Amino acid sequence: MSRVAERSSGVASRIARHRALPAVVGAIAVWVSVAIIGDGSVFGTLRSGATVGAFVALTGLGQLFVIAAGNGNIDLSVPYVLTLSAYVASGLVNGNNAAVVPAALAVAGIGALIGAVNATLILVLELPPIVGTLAVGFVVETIYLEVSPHVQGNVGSFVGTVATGGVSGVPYMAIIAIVLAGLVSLVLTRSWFGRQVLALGQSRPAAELAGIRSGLVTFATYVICAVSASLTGFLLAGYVGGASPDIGASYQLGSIAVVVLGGCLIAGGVANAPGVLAASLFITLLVTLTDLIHVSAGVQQIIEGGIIVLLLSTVGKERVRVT
Amino acid sequence: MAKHFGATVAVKDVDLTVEKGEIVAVVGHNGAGKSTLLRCIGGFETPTRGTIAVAGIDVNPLTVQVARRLGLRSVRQELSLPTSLSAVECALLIRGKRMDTWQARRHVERSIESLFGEMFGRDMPNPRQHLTNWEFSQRQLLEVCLAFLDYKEGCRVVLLDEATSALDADITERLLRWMRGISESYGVAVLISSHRLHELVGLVDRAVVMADGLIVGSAANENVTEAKLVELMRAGMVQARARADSRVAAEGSGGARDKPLSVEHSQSERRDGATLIEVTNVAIHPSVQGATLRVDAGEIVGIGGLEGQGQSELLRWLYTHLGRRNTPISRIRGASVLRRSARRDSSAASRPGLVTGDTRREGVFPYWSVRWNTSIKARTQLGRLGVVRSREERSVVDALLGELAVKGRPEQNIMELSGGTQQKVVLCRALLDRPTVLLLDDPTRGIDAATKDEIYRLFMDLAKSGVGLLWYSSEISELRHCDRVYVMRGGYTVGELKGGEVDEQVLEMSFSHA
Repeated sequence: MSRVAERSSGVASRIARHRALPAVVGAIAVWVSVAIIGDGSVFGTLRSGATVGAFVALTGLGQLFVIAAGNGNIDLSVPYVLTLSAYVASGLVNGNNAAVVPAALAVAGIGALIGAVNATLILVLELPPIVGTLAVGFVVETIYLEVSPHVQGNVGSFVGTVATGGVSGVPYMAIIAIVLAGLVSLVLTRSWFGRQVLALGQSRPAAELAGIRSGLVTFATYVICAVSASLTGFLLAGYVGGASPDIGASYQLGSIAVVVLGGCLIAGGVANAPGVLAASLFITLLVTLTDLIHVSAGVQQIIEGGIIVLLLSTVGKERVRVT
Repeated sequence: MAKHFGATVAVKDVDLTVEKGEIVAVVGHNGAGKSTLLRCIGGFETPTRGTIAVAGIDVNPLTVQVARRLGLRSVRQELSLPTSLSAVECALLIRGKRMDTWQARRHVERSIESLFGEMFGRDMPNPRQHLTNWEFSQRQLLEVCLAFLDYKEGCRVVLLDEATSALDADITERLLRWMRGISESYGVAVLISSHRLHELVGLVDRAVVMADGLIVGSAANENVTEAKLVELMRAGMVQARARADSRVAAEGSGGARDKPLSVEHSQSERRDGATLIEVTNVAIHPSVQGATLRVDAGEIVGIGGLEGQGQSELLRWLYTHLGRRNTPISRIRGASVLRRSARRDSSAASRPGLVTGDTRREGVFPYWSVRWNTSIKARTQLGRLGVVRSREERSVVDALLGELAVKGRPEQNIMELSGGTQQKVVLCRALLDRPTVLLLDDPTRGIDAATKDEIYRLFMDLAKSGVGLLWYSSEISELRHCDRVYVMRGGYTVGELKGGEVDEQVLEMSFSHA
């Protein structure tokens, strides 16, 4: 009796308590609803949802580091970095596939610079993160609004294929997102840097007494977030076929929402990369669902908001055991 | 009245009466229960047992709002005025009256200004300015001022809980004289808890001495002298110890308190003489004025004294400065710091470890397991190219946890364990990278007796193995486990005592005003 039963109840209860569970359940529920109500193919819905969702997931994975470090840290410059990168990438590549790698490095470099500026404003000038990153975001916006009329070209066919294509029915973007989420997960659990970020998010005084250089760690998280936003912008330009001033709009709250819905604590200290994936899928399919039921845009938003609140209320505050 | 916080008894059984117009001082060493007593009277805590009566009427429940309505005003050591308001706005906030007219506000402004001048003999900063622009000491003065604002009408009793601790001696003296005056004229009673005994002499009607949650004596009028009060405290401490010893004997627990562990300890050969810490006349702004101490390998050196005399700041400063590689002799505010590593041959600079008593805020990582809580500091041993070596983590950490008999499984969430066990985990964390000197900032605060004993034994073992320990404890009886004890007062190390039964000497040195 005992051993098998104990073990399976152990596994079952661990799944039930897993912080990503509500997002996974939500994603499945919405997908099923879409499949029932809609008239497209079941897997087609999943495919497109996974592709679009992957972009949010990528920005979410970057934002995850900033939020996990706690202490009020958050990056509101994500949509602006993303948009700027779309423009810069389009301009640098200009349809020439050979230029993709150098352009990617340049874009990542710009992202790193912006992340450094964010971190400096917050750590040195002691600006509240919400204020500091938003201010940087507006400056970035001004830059790309200046730049945009002069940018022609697109990011080329290679990136376009990566962004829109797939292999045996699985979108490349989904694969990228999954691989990256796995990587982030490993970093958070198996690397010292990840431990330091999570320690900082749980208790800054304890972390500093344990010898963690909170300034450096925080700096690194902002750089990671901005770089991920910029590379996402590069890929997004491939998906959309160019750059426009508003392609980043939904990533402002989107990058934060998927972090929180995925089971991370907004106060920091707990992070869940797979949850970010599930939450991205959930949010993307949710928009599809509300589109399908043909209600006005306002009602759509109410329904989306209501479902998100419902989901959040089920992500309880149980202790997270990380071993 | 009694007040328990779970298993901790802060106030055991106190009967106290304060008459109209009386100024009563409550004095005692750390943990005597003075603050808890005043907080209960002010309505911030609810007594576990007993009653509080105001003007003859039992009040239950006594909340902060009820207390205020009954004329009880509290001023605590931590400032409570919102700094984004001005002095006038704070006064209006406290009084809870709506003052829409500018005449009313002007009236309040003038009242505060004149009262301030009366009480402290100096001008108040601009009452319309936000308090963020005021200095800390000015804000403290304002809080006391506002407590007395309606001394002619509704105010009955003012409770000053260490409220004068940051004030200059001359201001405090003037304040006390002023209070003398108004309590005689208007019948306002004052209950003041303070450890600055010399200020109270000649200015209070009665002084009540607390120790170990009980009132152990009192003195009135001309009998209120520093010597008398310290003597009463000493007697109280002796009684408390006798009570603890008889309790242990009755329980027959045999192990822990048979003889002070330091006797065992000092008999063993553990000194190899290397000096790990030697500081001379170190000053650390703003809390340490001049500290001189020395810790050798294998020694347990204690620091005693009342709380807040600079002990924590000194320990933290040592923690950050001893950690720096090859610290040369450096001049800090006219002081010199010399650090000699006990292990001249080791390539890594000898690292200090620090353990604080505030486990909840500065110790635990609440979402993590015991294992992860322990390993977080040991990057050099358990990491390679930035990656955590899990197998090594498991074996090394689990072994240490086992060695220290930490209850609970290593993969358990740390918050499921008791406070004492959590503190042991934090200790393990500090020990994992083999420090040569261990700095302890009141590490056994709030821990159950059994775990405390385990921790004392651990300290003994560490000292035997050559580690030097510098241990600040707010509980005098703990210092008996030390080889030597320094006492800090007012930011200075005021004495060095040889180890053993130093309780009474520490008590005296904590208070006497040289």
